[in-house]
Amino acid sequence: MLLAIDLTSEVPIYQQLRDRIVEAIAEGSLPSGSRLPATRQLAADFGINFHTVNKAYDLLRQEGLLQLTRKAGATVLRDAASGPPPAEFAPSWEERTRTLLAEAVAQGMPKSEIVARCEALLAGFGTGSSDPLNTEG
Amino acid sequence: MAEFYLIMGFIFALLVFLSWIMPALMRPTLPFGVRIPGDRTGEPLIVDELRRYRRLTLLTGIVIGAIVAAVTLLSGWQETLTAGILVLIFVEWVWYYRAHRRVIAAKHEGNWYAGLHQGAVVDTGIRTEPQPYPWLWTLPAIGLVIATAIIGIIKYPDLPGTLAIHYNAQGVANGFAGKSVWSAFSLVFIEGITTALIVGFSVLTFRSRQELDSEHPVASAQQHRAFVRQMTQAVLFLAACVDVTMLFGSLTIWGVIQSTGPKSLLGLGLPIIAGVVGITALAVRTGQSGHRLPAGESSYGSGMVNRDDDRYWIGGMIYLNRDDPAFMVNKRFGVGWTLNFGHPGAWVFLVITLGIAIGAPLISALAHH
Repeated sequence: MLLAIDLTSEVPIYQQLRDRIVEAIAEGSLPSGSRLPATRQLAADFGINFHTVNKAYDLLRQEGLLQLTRKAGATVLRDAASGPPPAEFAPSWEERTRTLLAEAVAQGMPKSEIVARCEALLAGFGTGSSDPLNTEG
Repeated sequence: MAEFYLIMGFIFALLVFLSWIMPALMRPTLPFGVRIPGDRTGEPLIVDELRRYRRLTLLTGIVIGAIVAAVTLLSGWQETLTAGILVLIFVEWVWYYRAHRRVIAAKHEGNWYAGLHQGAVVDTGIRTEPQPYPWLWTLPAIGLVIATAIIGIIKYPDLPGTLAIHYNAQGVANGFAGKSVWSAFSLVFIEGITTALIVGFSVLTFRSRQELDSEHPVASAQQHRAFVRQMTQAVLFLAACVDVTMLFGSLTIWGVIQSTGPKSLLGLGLPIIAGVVGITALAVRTGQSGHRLPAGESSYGSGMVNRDDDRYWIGGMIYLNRDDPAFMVNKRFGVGWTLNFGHPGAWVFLVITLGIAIGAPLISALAHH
């Protein structure tokens, strides 16, 4: 799986890493049980600080998506096929989604278009097969 | 005598060839050690500098080569050959540095990175499904060390009281030592240490950082895998070649084979020349980081260019980045790896390597006494 970070972006690198990994899990290119490189190894491959990767991995661990082991690195704990999320997930996710939807509403995007765009994005997840990110080198 | 000139001539020609071809072995986005975006590789200034550099390196080789040949043939001073090689290396470096400065100036003047997103891409599969280290390729080198040691142990009781342990360029013995484990096995110790060092180094480079091209990550990930595998095999082949030379050297010390004068020198040099030719041919085929190797087409692009990291490279040759956890990185002008001098591990590595490099002749010197 390819992981890309934008070093000129205003989004912090640990946030980008966390976001890309969540997206890869949703897209199916990182199914439950698949492994990610050890913190130091990934930091060296990117040429970034070890604490940055650590921070991203720790966020994902707190979200219940990753399991961290000292030697083997990180393992994906769950994916779309692992069943519904824990009860505490929905409220905080809804809060963040509310802000995102509010941005579109405030800009005057029609409700039908918002729903259509959300559906198109959702359709992009879970296919996995035609995903170019899935190519192994 | 002719054999000695032949070996020095080979080294000289190889250096001219490597200087001349080096820009073609570098990624097009790293002309003369300067990082540029992919859409700038065809800039007229770069094309001009490439042409000029090639002309100058070739001309330098011919001029210095002619002077050295004339002086050596007329005066018979062998030192001219070594001096000629040092002068050659310096002048070729000047041509590189000149082009390096010019590309940097054009890049800054034209603001080539304006508005571009600079990023880094990593293929996690290179780490989670790593290709196996080619351990089988270490067998010839390790086998030769063991074979040399066994022959030495068998021969030791029958060795004469005085051993010829040093030969001059004409293949005539000019250094002698009393028989001892140190004098008889000096080359075996050096052979073992050298082999261990090369194998250890190849393990490190085999796992070294992947430096994917952000503009072509899929292709460069394939090329990275092929490059580290083939380079490791070539380095282990070179180790075996060095061991063959050490084996011949030891056999000469033990009197199993007689020094045949200058021809011995050629015999000793040939295996190493074979190893160097092999590794050079591979470098030309793969290019630095394997970018010349064929790779599958992919439409995937990250939409980003490679990070402009010039500020961490002194003269485009020495890497110093304290925020980079990697201690070994790809060279920018040359095929292979260099150290990150901002990493403490690089200094440890340097001290150990220098220690062994100084330690090996020390063993040799011990053998004299």
